[in-house]
Amino acid sequence: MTTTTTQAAENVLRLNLGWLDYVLVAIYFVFVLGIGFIARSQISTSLDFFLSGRRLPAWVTGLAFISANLGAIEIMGMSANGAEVGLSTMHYYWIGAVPAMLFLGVVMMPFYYGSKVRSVPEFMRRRFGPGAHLVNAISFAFAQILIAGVNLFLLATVINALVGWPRWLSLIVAAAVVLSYITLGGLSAAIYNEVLQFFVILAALVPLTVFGLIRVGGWNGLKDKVIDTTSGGKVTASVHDQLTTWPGQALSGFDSPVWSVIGIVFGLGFVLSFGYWTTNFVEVQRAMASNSMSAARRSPIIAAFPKMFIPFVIIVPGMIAAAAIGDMIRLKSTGKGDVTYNDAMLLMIRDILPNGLLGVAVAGLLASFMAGMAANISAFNTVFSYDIWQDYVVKDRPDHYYIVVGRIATVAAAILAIFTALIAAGYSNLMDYLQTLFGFFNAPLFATFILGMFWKRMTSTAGWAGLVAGTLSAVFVFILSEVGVINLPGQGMPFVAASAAFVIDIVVSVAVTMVTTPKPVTELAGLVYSETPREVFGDPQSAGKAWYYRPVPLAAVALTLTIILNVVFH
Amino acid sequence: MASKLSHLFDIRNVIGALLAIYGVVLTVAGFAPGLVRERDKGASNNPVDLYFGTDANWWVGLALIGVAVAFFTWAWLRPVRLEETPTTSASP
Repeated sequence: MTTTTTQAAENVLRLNLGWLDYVLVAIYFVFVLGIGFIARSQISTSLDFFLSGRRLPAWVTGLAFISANLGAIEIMGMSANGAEVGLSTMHYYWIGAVPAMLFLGVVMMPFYYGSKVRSVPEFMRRRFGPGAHLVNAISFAFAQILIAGVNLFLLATVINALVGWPRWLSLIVAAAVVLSYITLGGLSAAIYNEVLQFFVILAALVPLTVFGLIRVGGWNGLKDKVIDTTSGGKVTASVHDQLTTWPGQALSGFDSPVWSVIGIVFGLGFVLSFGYWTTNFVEVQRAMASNSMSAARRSPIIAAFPKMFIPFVIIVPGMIAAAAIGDMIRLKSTGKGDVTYNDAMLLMIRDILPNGLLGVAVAGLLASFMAGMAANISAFNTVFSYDIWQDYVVKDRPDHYYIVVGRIATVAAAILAIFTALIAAGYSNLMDYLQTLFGFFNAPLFATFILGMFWKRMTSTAGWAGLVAGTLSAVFVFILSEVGVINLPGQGMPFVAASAAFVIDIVVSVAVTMVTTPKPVTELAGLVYSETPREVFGDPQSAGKAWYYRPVPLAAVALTLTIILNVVFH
Repeated sequence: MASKLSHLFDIRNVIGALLAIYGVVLTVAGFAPGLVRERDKGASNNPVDLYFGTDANWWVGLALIGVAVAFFTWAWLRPVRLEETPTTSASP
C-alpha cells in the first residue's frame, strides 16, 4: 500500500555482520528449501499445487494471510511513516486492514469458498462473464509480476546497503531460492514459509522494540523525545500530531479535521483497504487453501488479531528511530540528510542489535522480502494457469498438464521479476507510479464485487464497464494530483483517488445495468446472496463449537479490541 | 512410516525446530560473548545510546527456546489427524 524507494547511502547503513550472523542466516535458508522439498511430496493434483488441496488448518492460513502482506515493503514503509507522522500511521491497521479482514471473513468468504472458485478472477468470470474476467485476470497477473520485481529490487538494494553484496548477486540468489521452493512445493511451500517467516521477523522486531523502548526510557521517555517533522521549512507533523491518531491530518494532508476523519474512514478504511484485502487474490488465495468453510472464514479473522498488534513493533521502532538516532533527527528537523525515512528500521537494527541478533534480523528481512515475492508469484501462477491458460488458450487437458503449466509459469514469473527489478533499478519513479496505480485497481473491483454479490439484476456489461470507468477515474484523479490541480501534502491522494473510483464504479454499474439484460437467475446460485441456497454458505462444523471456533463471534471480539485500541490511542 | 514423517514435518515442529536452534545459538552466544566480537560503536551521533550489548542475545535466546517448547508441546498434545483418504480430497 505504501511505495518505497530506498536510496541508502552505503556506509551509513552498513552492518558489521560476523560469522555467527551468517550461520543464523544460513540455517534459515536450509529450512526454507527443506520446506519446499517436504511440500513436494504432497502434490498430486493441480489443486494441491495451486490451492494446497484445500486442506490447511485455519491458524496456518491465517498467519500466511498476514505474512503474505508483511513483506519488507510494509515493514520499511510503515516504520518510515511512524518516523515521519507518528501514531496516525496506526490507521493503516486499525481503520484499514483489520475491519477489512473481518469483513472478508464474515461477508465475502462464503461466496469465494462456497462457490468453489479457484481464484478471485474466476469468481468474476462466473458472475460477469469473460469481459470483466479478462480485465481482472490480466491486470492482476501483470501487477503481480511488477510487484514481485519491486520486492526483488528492494531486497537487492537493502542487502547491498546492509551487507555490501553486489546487487546482481542478491537478485539472482533470492529469485533462485523463491523459485526453487515454489516450483517444488507450490502454494503449500509458499504458505509454510510465510508462517515460518512470521515468527522469524517477530523474533527480530519484538526485541528491537523492547530494547529500543528501554533505552529511550519507556513509552513516556519516547513521548518526551519526539520532535516536530519539518519539511521545506514548514512543520508537517507537530509533536501533538505524532502522538495522537485522530484526526490524523498529518497522515491525510487535509487541512480540515472533519475532512481528514472522513478521508481516513471512507477513503483509507472503507474503499482502499476493503478493496485491497477483500479482492486481492494474493490474500484471498491463502484463505481459499483452508480445509473447511469455517476455516476459510476464520483465517482472515484469526489474522486480524496479530494484525492489530503488529504496528506496535513496526511503527513504534520507527518513532524511536526518529527520536533517538542522530541521522534521523537531522532529517526530521531539517528535511534533509544522508538517510531517508525508509531507512528508519534499518538504522534501528544497526544501532540496537548485537551480533547474533543481527543475524536473526537479517534473516527476517530476507525472509520477508522473499515471502512477499513468493506470495506474488504463487498468486500469479494460479491466475495465469487457471484463468488465462485454461480458460482461453489450451482448454480441457488432463489435470496434470496444468501443474506443468503452473511450474513453467512460476519459472517465467521469476525470470520476468528479475527483469522488472532491473527496470526498477533504472526507473524507480516509474515503478512508484505503477505501484500506486495498481493500488487503485482494487477499489473499483471491490465496488463491482459487492454490488454483484448482493444485486442479482446487475448485468455482465455493467461488470466490466463499471470496472473500467472506476479504474480510469482513479487514474484521472492521480493525474490531477500529479499536475498540481489537487494538492494534498500528506498521503491523502490515494484515499481520494480510491474513493472516486469506488463512487464512479457504482454509478456506472447501476446506469449500465438499467439498459442491459441481466443473467438468468438460475446461473447465479452461489454467486449472488439472494439466489444461493442457505446450505452452500452453511457452516455445519461451527455449530455447537466454542466462540473462538465460530467466525462471527470471533470477528466481534476482534472488532471490539480494535475499537478499544482506537479509543486508548486516540 | 508415513505418519511418523508427517508428524515430524508438522509445520509446528518445523517452526519449533528453527526457533529452538536460534534460541540455543543465541543463548550460547550471549553467555560466551567472546564468540562474537563486541561491536565497535564508532562515531555514533545519537543523543541516546541505543546499543544493547551482547546480553541481549541470551535474553532473546531463552525467550525463543520458550516459544519453541510451546510449539513442540502443542504439536505433541494435539497431533494432526491423518485423513483416511489423503490425496482424494480434491473436488471432482
